[in-house]
Amino acid sequence: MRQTLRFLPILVLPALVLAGPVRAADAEHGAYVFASAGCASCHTVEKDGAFLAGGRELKTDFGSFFTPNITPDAETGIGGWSDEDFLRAMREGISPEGDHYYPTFPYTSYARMSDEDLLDLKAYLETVPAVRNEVRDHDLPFPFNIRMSMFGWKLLFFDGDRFEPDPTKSEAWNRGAYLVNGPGHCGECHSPRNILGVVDSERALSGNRNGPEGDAVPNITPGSDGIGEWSEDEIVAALEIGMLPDGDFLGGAMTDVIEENTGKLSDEDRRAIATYLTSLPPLASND
Amino acid sequence: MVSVRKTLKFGTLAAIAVAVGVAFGTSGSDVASAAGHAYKERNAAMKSMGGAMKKLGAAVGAGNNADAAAAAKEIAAIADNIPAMFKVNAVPADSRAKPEIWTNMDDFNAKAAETAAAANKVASDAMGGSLASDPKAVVGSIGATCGGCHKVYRAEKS
Repeated sequence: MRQTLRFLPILVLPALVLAGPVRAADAEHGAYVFASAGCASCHTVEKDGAFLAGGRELKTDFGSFFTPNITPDAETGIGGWSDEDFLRAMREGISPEGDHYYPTFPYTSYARMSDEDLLDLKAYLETVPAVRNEVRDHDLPFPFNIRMSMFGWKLLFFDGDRFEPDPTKSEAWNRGAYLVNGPGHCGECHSPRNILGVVDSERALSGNRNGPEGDAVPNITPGSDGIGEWSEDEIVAALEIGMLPDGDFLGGAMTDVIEENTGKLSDEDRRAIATYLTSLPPLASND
Repeated sequence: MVSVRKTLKFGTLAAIAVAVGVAFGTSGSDVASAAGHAYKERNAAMKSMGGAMKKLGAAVGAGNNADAAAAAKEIAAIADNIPAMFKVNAVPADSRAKPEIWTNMDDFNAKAAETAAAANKVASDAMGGSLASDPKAVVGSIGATCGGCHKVYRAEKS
């Protein structure tokens, strides 16, 4: 058996050569994408939860969701998923069995991400310890427990568009726009939603009075209701260490974002986010 | 001549009346003002701590160890005082203090101690000349403890 395996690369090589150049997925870069997408905080139970083994309760207006296990465990996690399975889940919100995910899982933002980023992310996820953890079903009252209804919701409200760079803007702006609207999924908390839970894209990032756990989420567009007074350096400081311009420190749900997501980005990427945010039209907060 | 007995009786009744009046008439505002005072004090202290954090950042940026140590000591002093300032379980309308502070007082106080420890370390590093040169790293080393407490014990702005 071992002898046969030794020859396997030689047998496989012609197939690869014929198929054309293929960029191998990069798990190391995937760890970075993982940080930028902020998967850790939702998919791990606070304090003592096994890393990415799911089961964390997300309380929303539509009921309680329990995050899935995304470790490589074959039975209770995402072990064995193909590249297509993973891309479909992240971009289209569809499971390998063909079920629709609820947009509590922000595929509505992850849809913007590139193939490379997503496949690198998958490669990274394959390296984390597999944990056997059968996560319970969501606790949703009627009619939200009808998963099939997500088909209709998505038909009406989900655009699934990939990120398109704006050639008239700088590289930094485009990088910031990609990070904020794609992996960063900032709008999922920072944008107002209507009664059907649809993000109001016209008022994107202008805050949400009724955010996760019922808490108010701030307006991060420029202007007096938002972060108009902040310098780019101050935005970067907030993203890096959670410090606000008056020396206060962010708490609540943002602590996880700073620790697991923006705090782990490169300085260049944080600056790109600041470049993008400061370019947005100032929006008033909703009431 | 007024009888001693009547005076005593009247005096006692009067004293009781005054006591009751004090208890019911002013106790509301006494409690309210104790709560309001506690809130003002701790709110002001937190704002000072923020100011000191900014001073610390500026001092590190300017390479001024003496100023950095002073700012760090100011932060440590305020953090040391947090348990005392939060003894009164008072949450006026504007307060963002969560009730969990008083149901988990040991943990809350432990977190304040973490801030004091982090600030004291910065102060001793500054005095020993071994302080890191990156302002964000230094401020962040204390800030992480601020965020850690705010995550659990402070409500979002409404």
